[in-house]
Amino acid sequence: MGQSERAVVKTRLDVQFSANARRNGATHGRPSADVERPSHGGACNHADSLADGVISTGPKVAFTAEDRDRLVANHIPLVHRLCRRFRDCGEAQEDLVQVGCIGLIKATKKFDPDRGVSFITYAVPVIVGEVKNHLRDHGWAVKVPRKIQEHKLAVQRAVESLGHILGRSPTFSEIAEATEISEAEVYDTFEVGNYGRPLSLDAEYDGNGTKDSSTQCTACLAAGREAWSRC
Amino acid sequence: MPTLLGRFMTPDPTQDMIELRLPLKLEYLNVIRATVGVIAGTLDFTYDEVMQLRVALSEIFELATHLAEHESADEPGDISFRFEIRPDGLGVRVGAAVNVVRDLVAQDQDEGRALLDSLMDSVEFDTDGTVHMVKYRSVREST
Repeated sequence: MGQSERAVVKTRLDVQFSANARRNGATHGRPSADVERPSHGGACNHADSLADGVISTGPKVAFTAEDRDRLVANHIPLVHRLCRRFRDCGEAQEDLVQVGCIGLIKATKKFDPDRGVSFITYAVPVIVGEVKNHLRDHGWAVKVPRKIQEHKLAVQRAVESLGHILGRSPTFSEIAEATEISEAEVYDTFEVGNYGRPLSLDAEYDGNGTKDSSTQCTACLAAGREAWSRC
Repeated sequence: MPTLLGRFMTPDPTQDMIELRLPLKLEYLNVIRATVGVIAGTLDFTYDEVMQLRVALSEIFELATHLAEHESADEPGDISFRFEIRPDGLGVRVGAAVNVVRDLVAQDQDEGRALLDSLMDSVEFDTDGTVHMVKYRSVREST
């Protein structure tokens, strides 16, 4: 791959990057001109080769700020694409992309080319993890203890899997037994979903033409009930 | 208080009873949902059945609060739930300061009533303005 060809690859989107990563991954271990690319003077080439998904076999070299800038800039479309997975989570897409970019920056800082994997391979789980952590920590309007959130997920999983095993909906004692959560704690998970997205008490309500301040809040609660019952 | 449950103390000493009386305000919707969830859960109802009970009772509660909001200008009044722990399931008698039954029976096609019929195994409307519902357990033996 010549200098000009590499410059073209650099400007392509992440789809091409990952294709490159696969191709180079397949030739990993064999002496190849692509893999054993000589340095063209200056640390920037490390960033180039990383963006191309080339597996580095050389000694560990710390990246300069410029390298990282380039890596981040080249992978912004990847962040956008990953964040689209979470578009139904109720958070603004722009916010998620920002968080994803923080994840991308973290990935450029922590990436170790000596591990023999391409940058994309490392960056994707870091970015997705950052977004998921954000949703976990900030997606709840009312903070629910982590333990109860985890119980809620465990209960949902158990209801599903026990339903397949038993051929009917499980009882609570069965859920408690399967999840190794006490029955009382299973009941605690009932109301967890209710605190995800409460409606604003100031929201304007014009359902029945009653708009005075005393009915405003309760009217909102009535509308909110519909959202709650989905959980 | 017009049609509350005080005068309906069914004299069955073998049957355990739990009574819950709430103001007819939507803030307390979660109280009834959580309560019926725990009661039914301890009686070995299945997860789906518990959810059906929760929806049925919140439906009645919501209807009653809606009526209270539009009928009685001053005080919203109360609503009472009496849970009868039966060997084969759970009975619930609901009485409210507003006449829920009249509203449910008046419109036979009303989706509220259809919903109750599909969620509960038996729904009876009494002339005194209370609703009596029974949900039977599908899993008989306790695990």
